[in-house]
Amino acid sequence: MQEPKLLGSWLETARERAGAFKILLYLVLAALVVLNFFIVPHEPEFATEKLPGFWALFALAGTVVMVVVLKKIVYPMLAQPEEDTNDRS
Amino acid sequence: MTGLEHLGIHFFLHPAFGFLALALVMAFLKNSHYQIWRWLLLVPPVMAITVVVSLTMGPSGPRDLATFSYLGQTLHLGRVDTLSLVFAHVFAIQSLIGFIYALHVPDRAQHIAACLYVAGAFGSVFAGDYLTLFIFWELMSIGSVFLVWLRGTPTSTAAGFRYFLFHIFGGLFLLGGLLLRHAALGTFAFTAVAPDAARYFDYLILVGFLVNAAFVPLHAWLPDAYPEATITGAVFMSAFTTKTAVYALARGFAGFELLAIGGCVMCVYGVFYATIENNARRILSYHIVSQVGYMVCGIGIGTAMTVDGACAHAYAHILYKGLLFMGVGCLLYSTGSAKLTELGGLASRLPLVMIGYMVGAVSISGMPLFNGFVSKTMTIAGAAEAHHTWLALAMELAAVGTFLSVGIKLPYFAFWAKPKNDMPLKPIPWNMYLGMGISSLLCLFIGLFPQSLYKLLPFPTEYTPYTTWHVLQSSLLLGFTGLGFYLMRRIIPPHPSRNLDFDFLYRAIGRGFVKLVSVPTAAVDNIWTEVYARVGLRGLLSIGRGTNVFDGKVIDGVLDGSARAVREDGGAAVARIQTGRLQDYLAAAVALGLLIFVIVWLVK
Repeated sequence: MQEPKLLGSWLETARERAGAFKILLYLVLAALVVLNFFIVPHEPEFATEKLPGFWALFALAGTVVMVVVLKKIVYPMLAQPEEDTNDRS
Repeated sequence: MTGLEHLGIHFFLHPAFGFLALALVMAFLKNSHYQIWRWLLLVPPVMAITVVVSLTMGPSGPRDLATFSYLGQTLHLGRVDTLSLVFAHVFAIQSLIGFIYALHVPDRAQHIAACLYVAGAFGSVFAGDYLTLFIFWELMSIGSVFLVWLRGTPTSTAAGFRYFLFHIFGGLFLLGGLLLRHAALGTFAFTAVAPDAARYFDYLILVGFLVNAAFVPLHAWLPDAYPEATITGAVFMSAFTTKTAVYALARGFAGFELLAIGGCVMCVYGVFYATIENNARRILSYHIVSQVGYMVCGIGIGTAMTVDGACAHAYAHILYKGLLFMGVGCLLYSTGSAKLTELGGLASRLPLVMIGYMVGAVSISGMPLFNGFVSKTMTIAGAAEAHHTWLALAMELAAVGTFLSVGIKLPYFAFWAKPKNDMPLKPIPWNMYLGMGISSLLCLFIGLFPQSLYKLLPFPTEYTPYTTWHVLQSSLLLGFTGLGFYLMRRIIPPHPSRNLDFDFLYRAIGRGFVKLVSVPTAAVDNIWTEVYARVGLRGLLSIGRGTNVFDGKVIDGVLDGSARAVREDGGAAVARIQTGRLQDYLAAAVALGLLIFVIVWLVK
C-alpha cells in the first residue's frame, strides 16, 4: 500500500520548523507549572504532591539521573558485542 | 436477560475450539493456495468474539459450562466468570487484529503455530482445574516457540531453544506443584490461595506462573526470544503468554506481598534495560516486563481496586503493545532492520506507520485520552490508597522511563534523528495497516470512554480517571520527561550491542551442563575404546569367524528379501521423516500426543 505523500511532505516541513516546536514546548511546560500553583490534589496520594511543580521536578530529575547513570555507568558494564548479524527479514 | 442466559449456557462453544479446528484444517492445505484459504484465518477470531460477547451478557456469577470426564478425572474447560471474561474479551479482539495483520503471510506453518498458541491462551483462561490449565499452558509454549523458530535464522533457532527450555522448566514447576497439591488436598481445583495458608506446592505452582509472567529474575527468555520471532508472531506473543500468567496470578495468588514488591522491581527493571537498548523489538520486550510489573504489583497488593487496575491494565496493554509491535514490525518488514542505529529519518516516508506507532506510544505512556491513562493511573492510585506509597512512587518513575524509551527515544531514532532517509523501502501490505488502524482506534476509544472497559472488570469500581488533577499530573510527568530527553540528547543515542541480562546466566548453565555430561562421557568412552581394542576385539574376531558361516548361509537369504522391500517401498519415507531437526521431532511428538489423547478419549 502507498503511504500518503502529502502527509509525508507536511511532516518534512514540520521538521524544518523544529525551532518553533521547541518554543511551543517551553510555553506549554511553563503553562503547566503555572497551572500547578492553582490546581493541587484534594486528597494527595503523596505528601509532597501539594508542592507546586513536584511532578515536573520528579520527571525531569528522574529522566536526567536515569539516562546519566544507565548510559554512562551501567551500560559500559553490560554491553557485549552483538551476536545477531541477521536481523533482516 | 433470561433468554441470553440460556443462550450462554446451551451454546457455549469454547473459543479454543475454532482455532484448534482451523489448525487441523490448515495441516492439509498448500502454501501455494494461501490467497484463498487465508480468509479462513478470520473465522475463529470472529467466532471467539461472538461467544465471549454473548457470555458477558449472561448472568454475573461463576458458571461451569463445559466439563468432561477423562481418565477418571473431570476436566473443567469452561469456567466463566468476570475475571476470565475480561481476559477472554481482549484475547478475542487481539486474535482478530493479529490474524488481520498476518493475512499476507503465505506460510501455513506460522498460522498453525499462532492458532495453537491462541487456543492455548483461551483454554488457560477458561480452565477451572489445574490439569486443564496445564494442558493448555503447555500448548501455548509449543505454539509460541514455533513462532520464534519459523523466523528461520540461526539466532532465532538458538533463542527458540532457550525459550522452550525455560518454559519447560516453568511447566515442570507447575506440574510438580499441581501433582503434589493433588496428593495433599485430593483436588485439582484451581482456586485462590490465601497468602498465609500457602504451602510448598502452592509456591511451586507460583514459580511456574512467574516464569510465564516474566518475573525478574525469571524474565530473560522474553527479551531474548521475542525480538527473534517472526514479524507477525511477535504481535501474537506480546499479547498472550504474559497476560495468561497475569490472569493465573490474579485467580490464584492475589494479595501475596512477594508479588507487590517483585512487580515493582519488574516495572523499573524493564525500563532501565530499555533505556540502554538498541533493537526496537527488544526495547518493546523490556517494556512488556515493565508493564506486566504494574499488573503483578496490583495483584500483589490485592485490594479490589488494584486487582481491577491489574485487569484493566492487562486489557489496555494487550491492545497498545500489539500496536507497538505492529508498528515496529512494519519498520522491520519495510526496511529489513529493527535496530535504531540503522534507522532514522523515515517519518516523511512512512507517515502512517509513524502515526500508528505513536498512538501505541502515547497509550503505553499513560497520556490522557488514550487507554493506558485510564488503566495505569487506576493501579497507581490503588497502590497509594492502600498505603504502598513507595511502590506507587516506583511505578510513577517507571511511567517516566516508559515515555522516555517507547514514547520519545524509539520513535525519535526510528523516524526522525537523521535527515530524510533514502534507503530502499519494501511496500507494506494493506492488511498490516488495517491491523494497526483497528488497534489505534480501540486505544483511543477506551481512552475516551473508560466505562466501556471498567464495566468488564471483576469488582465494581468507582474510579474516575478524568479529574483535573490527574490530567494535570500526567501532563506534567510527560512534558518534563520530554524536556529531560531534550537535555540528554547527546548522551542517550543507542549503540549496537547485546546487553548482559539473566539469559547469559542460562546460557552459562547450559554450556556447563553440556560440559558436565560430555567431559566424563568422553573420558569413559576413551577408556572403553582402549579396553575394547585390546581385549574385546580378539574374542570377537574368533566368534565372528564362527558366525560368519551362519550369516553367509542363513541370514543373508532372509535379509536380502526384506532389504529390497525397505529400499523400494519404505526407505525413502523413513529418511524423509528423520530430518535430524529437533524442532520437527517436537512437532511430531505434539501431533502424536494429541492423537493418543483422542484415541484414549474415544475408546473410553
